[in-house]
Formats: sequence, structure tokens, C-alpha cells
Amino acid sequence: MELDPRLWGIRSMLSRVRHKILVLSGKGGVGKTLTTALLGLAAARKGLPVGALDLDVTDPNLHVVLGVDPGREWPGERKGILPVHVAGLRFMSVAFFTRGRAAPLRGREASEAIREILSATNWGQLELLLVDMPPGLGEEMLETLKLIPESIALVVGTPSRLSRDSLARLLSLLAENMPTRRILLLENMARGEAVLTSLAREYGARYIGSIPYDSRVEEALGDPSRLLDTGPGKASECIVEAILDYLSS
Amino acid sequence: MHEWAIAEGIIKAVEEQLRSGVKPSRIVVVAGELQNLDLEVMRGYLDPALSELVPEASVEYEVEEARFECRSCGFKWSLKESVLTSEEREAIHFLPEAFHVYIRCPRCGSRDVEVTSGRGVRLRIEY
Repeated sequence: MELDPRLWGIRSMLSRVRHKILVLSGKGGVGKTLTTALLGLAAARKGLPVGALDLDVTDPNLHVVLGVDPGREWPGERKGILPVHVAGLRFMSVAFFTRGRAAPLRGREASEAIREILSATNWGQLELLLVDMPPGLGEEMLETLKLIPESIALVVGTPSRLSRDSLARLLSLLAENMPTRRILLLENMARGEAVLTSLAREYGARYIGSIPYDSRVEEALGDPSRLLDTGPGKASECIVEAILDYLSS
Repeated sequence: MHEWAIAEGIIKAVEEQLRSGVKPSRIVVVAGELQNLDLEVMRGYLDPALSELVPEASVEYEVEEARFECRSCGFKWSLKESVLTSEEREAIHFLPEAFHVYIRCPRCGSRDVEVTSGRGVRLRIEY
């Protein structure tokens, strides 16, 4: 019999992480990476031990939002690979090992990379780990949901009709195939009244709040303090509170 | 050490085998050459732990040669024929899939390359 010891390594490495949140979306461009960064930074500002993991193994860019240069930073080692500290956040990304360059991975190879990062990263004790997933309903999402069965799905969508169409498919898949998984829905780039609440109700997801559109975000990318001072940054502090309330209920 | 994390996974896997009521008689740690693990360090973690957990089992270590095949032109070659800097080797040590960034097909230059053997660590258990 042959076994993959990383499957046990993942459980061991995540055993001191209280809540694992996979940030998901059906389509790209809905602000999933920015949301991961803002929620992580807002939680860190509250003094919570929090981690952010970029699992977009072929096209990682959470480091851009956080202002980390993967060509200069190198994670340390102690009983595994140690995340890099950014504005109170513990951060890990495939980009450290690819130096931010393109890594053309096929489906199975992407899963191998995901298993490797999850089994090797020593997060220590965390209250929250936010995992920025690649968009889509394919290999990476299915593999990660299987590897971290206790994780909570935080689905990000925008009010756009295109996003809603894709959201419905993702929520339906999660609701049908993983009925016991806790699902949160976050509305990003909101303009006025919330429009995704009914979609959340329809698929048994908890609508956790909205983050407004703010054109100043683009200029603040790479600067955690400035990001938190934007409208989305302030809204993220409320979303973190809502998530913590939900998790403690 | 990164090797500690891998050894920890192996120990937990063996513990689970024991909990499920099966006793391994032979344990082989197959280490892919691509990941470039320090087997002495691995042995330093694993030998004492496994001899306590499964004293009757033999524990062996094997290094599996890393070989590649180009998906574009079909060329096959080994890691030994690839030239890598120490920094690139270090990156691949932590994340074997990083080889897609640093290793190209020597014949056609494609990076659409498959590692056909010797990627990472596997645990072979006999009862």
C-alpha cells in the first residue's frame, strides 16, 4: 500500500488553526484577492492571530495587494515553512517559490502544489486562516474543499448579472454536494442596496455583508495601511466582526 | 526544518495505521530526487519515532530518480541533466512544482513538462 504522508501533514499543520475560510468565486475579477487581503488586514488590526494563504498556484497575486516582493522575501524554516509577516498578518504564497514568474501547471500538478503548501506551512496558532482560491469550480477548489473538510466557504460575488449567474452555479454546487459545509456570501463592489441577499437565502448561505466599490483602492494596492483607510477597508472591519459573530454563534 | 514537516506527516500516517488495527512489517520512505530532501535529517526524526511506534517493522529509505518528459515534443531526460542554481534548487525543495519555472525541455525549450518519476515523498507500507 502506498500513502501520501502530506494528507496527514496537512491535518497536523492546520490543527492549531481554529477557523479555515476558503475565499471562493465562480468567476475571476470579483475582488476575491482584495477581499482576502482586506479581511486579513482588518482582523490583524483587531489583534487577532490571522493568516492569509494564496492558493492560486498558477497566477498568485495576493502579494501585490499586500506589497510583498516575492523576489526579495524568502520564508524561514522551523518545523516547516514559516509564513512571512505583513502588517500583523502571516502570509504564504506559491509566488515565493516561483519568484512571481509563470508556473504552467496542469490540473493534477496544481493539486500537488496545493498539498505541498498546505502540508509544509507552519502557521502556528491562528484564530483565522483566509485562503485565497483561484476562481472557478475546477480541480483546485474541489481538491482544497476535500483536503480541508472543516473549512468554511466564503463566496464572493458582485451585483453584476454575470457574477450572479456564476454565483448561483457555485452556491448550488456547494449546497448540493456539501450540505453540511458552512457557506457565507459576501457582496463586493456594492453600489447602494444589497442585491445578493435573496441568492444567499435560496442556497442556504449566510449573507455576511457588503463591501462598497471605491476607485481609490487601485492607488492603495501594496500599502496595507492605506488599503484599510479606503471605504472597502473600513467595510472589511465590519465584515470581520460579522464573521466572528457568526463563528461564535 | 522542512524535513520535519514531512517526517511529521509520515509518523501521523503510521500512527493512524496502528489505530485502525493493522501492524506494518515493512515501511519504505520513497523520496523523490526532485525534492532534494536531506535523508540524514529525515532519519534523525523518523528512526527513533518509528522504532518506538512499530519496533518489529523494518524501515528503509529509497531515493527515486527524477525524470521528465516534454509534453510538447516527447523528449525524456533526468534531473541530473538539468542545470539549476542553488536558489532554484531550494525553491524546488520547498515546492517541487516550481520546477515548471526553472526547468525547460532541453530539446524544444517548452515548459509544459511532466515529472514522470521522483517528484516527492511517498510512504510504502507492507503488512
